[in-house]
Amino acid sequence: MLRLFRTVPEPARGPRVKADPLSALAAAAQAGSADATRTLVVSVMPVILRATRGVLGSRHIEVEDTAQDAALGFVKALTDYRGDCSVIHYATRIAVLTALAARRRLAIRGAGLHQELDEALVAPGESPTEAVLAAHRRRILRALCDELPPPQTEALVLHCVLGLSVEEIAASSSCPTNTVKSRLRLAKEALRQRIEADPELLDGLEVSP
Amino acid sequence: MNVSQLCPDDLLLAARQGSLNPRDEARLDFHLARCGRCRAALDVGRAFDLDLQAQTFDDAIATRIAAAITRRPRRKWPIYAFAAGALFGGSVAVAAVAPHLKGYWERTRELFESNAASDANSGEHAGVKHGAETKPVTSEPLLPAPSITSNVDAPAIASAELAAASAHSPSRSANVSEGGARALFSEANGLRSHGDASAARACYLELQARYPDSSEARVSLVSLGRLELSLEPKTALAHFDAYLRRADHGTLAEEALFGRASALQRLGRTREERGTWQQLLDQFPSSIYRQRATSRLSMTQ
Repeated sequence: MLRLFRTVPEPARGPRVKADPLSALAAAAQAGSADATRTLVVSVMPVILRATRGVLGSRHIEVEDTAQDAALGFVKALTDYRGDCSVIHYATRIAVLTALAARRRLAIRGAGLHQELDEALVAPGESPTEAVLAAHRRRILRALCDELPPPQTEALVLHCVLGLSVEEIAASSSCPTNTVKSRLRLAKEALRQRIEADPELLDGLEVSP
Repeated sequence: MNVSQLCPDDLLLAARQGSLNPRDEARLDFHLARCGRCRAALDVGRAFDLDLQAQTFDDAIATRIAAAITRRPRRKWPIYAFAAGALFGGSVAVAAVAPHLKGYWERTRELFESNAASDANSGEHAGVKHGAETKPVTSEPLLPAPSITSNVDAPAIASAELAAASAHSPSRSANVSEGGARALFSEANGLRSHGDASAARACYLELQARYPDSSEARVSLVSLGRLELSLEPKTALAHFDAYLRRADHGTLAEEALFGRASALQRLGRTREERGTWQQLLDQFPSSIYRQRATSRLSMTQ
């Protein structure tokens, strides 16, 4: 019975373009309005900055340059935007891909990754130990980004770092939902193995192997 | 079917947002007790949620980037505008070179005539062509060499490194020799954004050496400093200092101070680093780097 349920195609829940408050602005920008483009870029910059900081490290020195590249990529890619996903998710995915490319470029150049500057800043209500462990977990995920195949990396960052649902990832990357689930499953397994192999985190997380 | 095939990704996201109802919370707890993958994903996700909250000056960054991007379409000029520009540039170049060419031809003619007279008088070189005799003239420079030593601030670094830098891309300098400071600056920025750091570095250094008084050369000190920061913090520091000497209240003074402090941090010069962070806070109380500055000041106490 359960198997039968699993074979029934899932209803598409991702695209909610009609409710997208930015779709009218995107249409005006596609029509060539400079004012609309500027307003749209200002509107999506928070998610672009968030995605860039997620991939590079929130205090990485290249964050602003990479965010600008991502915003430029977003403006260029607007001509291809057909409303399959929300504008915000479209911008998020472009920012993630741009930041991952920047990360690879910095790694090849042998520069930048050591200046990630992801310091363990203690948030209100958080202990210093928790802050250190959180910073360590973030570093582990970013290190994994350099090793996993690009589609898995993209799914992992969009889901675990930026909190997009499987349906939203599928809509923004034009992939079937099950493909995204499969990529996520493999990426999360790699993440689990990496965390469980780390004695420092194992103590902090109290994960039973 | 094992537990992993039923990973409730939607519940994980709801847990991160704090929007789980008690029933879903119990379901998630039951799943997490059996699935290490989801435990790891949830812990890492929460670590990022803490770190990626919007920062105070994101609005200012967004406005700046939006303005920078919407200025770019001006590059899409029709091809005839470039042709007209090239024609105009060519005319200016010919006008500038003409007096030197005139002097060159006059010197050549004088030499030619004196050699001819000498040949006629002595008859020693009767069988030698005049072209060979005029050869020494070409060894003189037709135009004065660009004055590298006239650069004022950054130039100790710039001129010393220019030779090494130009060795990287000997053909490139020829391509841009007529383009001026703005063209060099654009090219350097393009190379930098494409990750070609060594070519970008060479381009910035050439810009500083050729057009030391241009605003592009001044701004390039900060760009070059940021480029050098990861590998050569000492050199980066010299570039940031050079910018601040020339324009301590310039548009990029805030960036230069941030770069200077970062370079000093990498060099382990804590006292000077603290001074720079403090200067940044005093000079730019609402700086986007305020959080970082206060954090470093408290960490290095």
